[in-house]
Amino acid sequence: MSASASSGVTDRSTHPVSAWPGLSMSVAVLCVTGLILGFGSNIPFSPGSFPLYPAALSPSASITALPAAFVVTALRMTGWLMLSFLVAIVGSVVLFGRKQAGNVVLDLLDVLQAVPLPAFVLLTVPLCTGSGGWLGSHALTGEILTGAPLFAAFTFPILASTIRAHRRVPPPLILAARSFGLRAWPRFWRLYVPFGIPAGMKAISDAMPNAWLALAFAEFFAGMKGLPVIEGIGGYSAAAAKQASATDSALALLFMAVLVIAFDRLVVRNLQEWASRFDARASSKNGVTRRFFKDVPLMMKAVISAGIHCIRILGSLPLGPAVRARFIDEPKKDAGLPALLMAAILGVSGFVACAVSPYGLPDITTSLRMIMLGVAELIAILIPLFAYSVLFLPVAVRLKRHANKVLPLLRILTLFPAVLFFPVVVATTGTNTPLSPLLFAGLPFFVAQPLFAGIRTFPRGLLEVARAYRIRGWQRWRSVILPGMGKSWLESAHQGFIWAWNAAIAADITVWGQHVSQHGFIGRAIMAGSNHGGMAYAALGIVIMTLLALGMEFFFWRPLADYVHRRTTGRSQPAIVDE
Amino acid sequence: MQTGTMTSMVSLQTGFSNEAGDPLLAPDRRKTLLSLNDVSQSYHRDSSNDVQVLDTVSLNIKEGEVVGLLGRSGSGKSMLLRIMAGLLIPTSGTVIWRDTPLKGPISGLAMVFQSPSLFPWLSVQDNVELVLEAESIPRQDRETRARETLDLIGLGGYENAWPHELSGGLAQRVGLARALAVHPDLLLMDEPFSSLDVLAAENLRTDLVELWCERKLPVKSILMVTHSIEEAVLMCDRILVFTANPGHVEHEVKVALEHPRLRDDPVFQETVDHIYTLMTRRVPVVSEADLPETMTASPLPQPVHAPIAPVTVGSMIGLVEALAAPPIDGRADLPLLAARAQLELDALFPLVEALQTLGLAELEDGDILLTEEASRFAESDFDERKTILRHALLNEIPLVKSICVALDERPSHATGVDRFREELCESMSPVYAQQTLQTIVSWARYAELFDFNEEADQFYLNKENGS
Repeated sequence: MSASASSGVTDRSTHPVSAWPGLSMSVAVLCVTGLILGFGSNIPFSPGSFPLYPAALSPSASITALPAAFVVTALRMTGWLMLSFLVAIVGSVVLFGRKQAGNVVLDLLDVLQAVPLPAFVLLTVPLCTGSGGWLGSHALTGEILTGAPLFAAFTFPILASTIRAHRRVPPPLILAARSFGLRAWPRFWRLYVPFGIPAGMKAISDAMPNAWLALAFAEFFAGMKGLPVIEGIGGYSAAAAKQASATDSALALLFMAVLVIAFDRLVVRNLQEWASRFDARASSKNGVTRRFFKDVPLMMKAVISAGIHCIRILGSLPLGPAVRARFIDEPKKDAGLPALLMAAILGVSGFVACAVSPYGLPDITTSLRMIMLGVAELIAILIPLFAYSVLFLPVAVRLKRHANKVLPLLRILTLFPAVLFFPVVVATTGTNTPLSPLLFAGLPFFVAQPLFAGIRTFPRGLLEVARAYRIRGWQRWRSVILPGMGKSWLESAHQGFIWAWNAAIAADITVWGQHVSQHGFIGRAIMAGSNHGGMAYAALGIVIMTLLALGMEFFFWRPLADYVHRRTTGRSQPAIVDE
Repeated sequence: MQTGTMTSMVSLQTGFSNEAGDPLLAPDRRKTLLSLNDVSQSYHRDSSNDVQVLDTVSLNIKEGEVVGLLGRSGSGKSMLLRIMAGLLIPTSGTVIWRDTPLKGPISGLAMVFQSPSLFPWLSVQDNVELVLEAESIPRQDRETRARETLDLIGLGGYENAWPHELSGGLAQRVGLARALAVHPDLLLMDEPFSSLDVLAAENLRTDLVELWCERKLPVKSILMVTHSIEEAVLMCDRILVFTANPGHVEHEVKVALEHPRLRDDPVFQETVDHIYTLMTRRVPVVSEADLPETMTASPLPQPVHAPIAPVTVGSMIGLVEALAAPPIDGRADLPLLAARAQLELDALFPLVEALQTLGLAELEDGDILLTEEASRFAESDFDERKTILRHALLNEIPLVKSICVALDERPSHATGVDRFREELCESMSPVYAQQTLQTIVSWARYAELFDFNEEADQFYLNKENGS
């Protein structure tokens, strides 16, 4: 379940009013769950090709390998980000002007974002390795394995955000573009792309915590299982954990921290800064891009200039039908129904494939057991989540003057892939504490960040009114602070939940030396299934996790968001912008 | 324009008084509610620099009077009001409330803010009740009192409405009701009508004055901060004219008009004219030769640059054309000009200042006069106007000249904005520096002097338009 799903709770502008899933969403759920089950029950996979953990110790981690691992991880992150962005752009081109089809795709993307990111690694492993692996010993095997969750972490939210941004293009601008006779392609390029870029870049920024988690998990997982993957920092960390080497673990954490900070400052922030030029509401003030590119060599400047020139020519190509007058009630041609049918057929095919496989459709007992494990995992996450959100709210309010200093630190802590902390936590707290890695690393930062952000933007006027009229003590909390912080509180809880749900599987491959963590519920069941070659069982677990995440979204977070919205604004309906 | 009549207006004919202030009682015998003695306020900007916002402000508010604190935006009026409300502690000086030093917000003072600042999660009734709850008033009583106050202010029927359902005027009424509900002795109002549209502001203003005159408001005195001269003259018994850099009370004007006051009343207009003259009067320039030796030895540091208000070239041209056209013919009384240009009088301030800065207009006894250059500007065609403005910018604004010199000196004909921004920041706050730079860029673009690249944060000469 990746980051952009989180925006659905607090930013209801892109969701229908009803909390209940409609036909399109139901078909999307059918499609995704059918495909996962069909895939899991039919993919040939033998346990021999997939070592049980803790695996035999990998070659010793050496400090000299760390710089190379640093470069590998950086290149992976950059490469998959570029590929995801490209795919998202292509996707938005394909869906341009097809509103109904876009709705189906948006629902599909929402469901895909509910699939835990580590599941993309588990589902890719049989494809890439072993005797039945399609890619066998191909050089790209390892990269696809580590890139699959990264691709999911980036592509789905970027594409969804871009499609939604395209729907917010102001009608007068569309009319102006039509009146100047711009054909479909130049209209898309000159009008819709600029509107999509800030949204896409924001999606990238929001997705970064999950992207780092996904990449670190994939590398860690591959390292732990001895899979044929070029060693990145995650792999190095796995080797260090298997050897219970505190020094090497600390070094891996340090290098990863440097990489995360550098990537954030040099890539993500610059991209956002650059994208802000397309956003009429934002203004370029800090000049990060300017400073960064100030000393670019002349040759590079020429290349950039030539690139910009090419893009301008590309955007001016007169492709697409010429603009013509329309009848006022002329029905628009749209691929909505075919898209819906295609999704339904794919889903049904997946279920049929599952039914005819040697495993057959999951039986009720197994499914119920898996659901119970899922619910247990949910409760195990929600309890500390609630505790942290209650604990951090007064802390954030108390430290509101320091919010500007605390927030950058929290930003880095949320970006840092806490999965690399898990072995250290296991080494410190033991292996039998339920969800201990999640409790001590990651979750607190995700909960605290929105709270500090919320108190920083709390309307000063309202606090001044409270002071002027001497509204103090419990009355101040009850009537001013709690309602005012409601949205931030909800955002913090939702953000923490999404991260913890994603990290639940990751927490179950945590080892330190020969000690294996024993804290998971459904995450552990999924890992156990895949360890023993039972991909059908693992796929069932992934489907259950996906459905639980969706269920929480539709039947808990969104109604809660509506309640908080009503309670804190007095408005009964969230504003709908693009629907 | 008659300015000498103001002294004759200092009289006992206060237009209205309320239950607390006996109209037969001379103002100097009324009880003093709030006193400010030599209140100064400054804030720390950087390691070596403190910015003084208020300078030894002293004033008294007595029972039964409506006092206006009139001044330009950014002069520190709102800060002074917050000091009076007990929300800020002054750097020096004392604030005395009923013979006791004020150390924080108290129940005898209530404040109406510039924006309504209603709690969006509470209904209208609950917003008013909230402040009564803070006064520990029992539930039954606060419900009744909130309802009565809402009725008084014309909000009966809106008790269950949410703030987002209210127009700006109604929301501000709720803010006023919230303040009145606590029955304060002194009601402090911080530009309460400035965020409203003209009609809503007029409506609320009139209602407030009527309630005060009918002695229905549960307050003893009102202190109102405003930047509108007409508003102050319409409502107040006494107007304190506040000037900036640093903020201090420069003049006190007593208004002896009966209520209801009418804008077309000649005395009303004379009062407005008089205040306008006071507010636009320039400090006389004294030659260094006339100063005693002790003063010339250590002259006070004067800011090199002055802030420039965000005025568009279009508005300046419009004003110059309106002034040059008959029957005005180059000289006009400002209120009349404001009426002719369909502008609020206060909206003319920045425009007039901009023309003064560029040497296109001068002020004389509250009248505005076009200079010869401006008259030529009015009669010129498009290109000639650009040339005139170019010369004005180069001659009258030193920063523009510095920028042009820098651009000419460099082979690339481009220069970073940072050094000019920093130069401005030595004379003004960063916000004003940014605003000044933006205005200069917009004027320079019209005059085709230079252009600005936001992404590179550079000024540059645009070869295409010949600058």
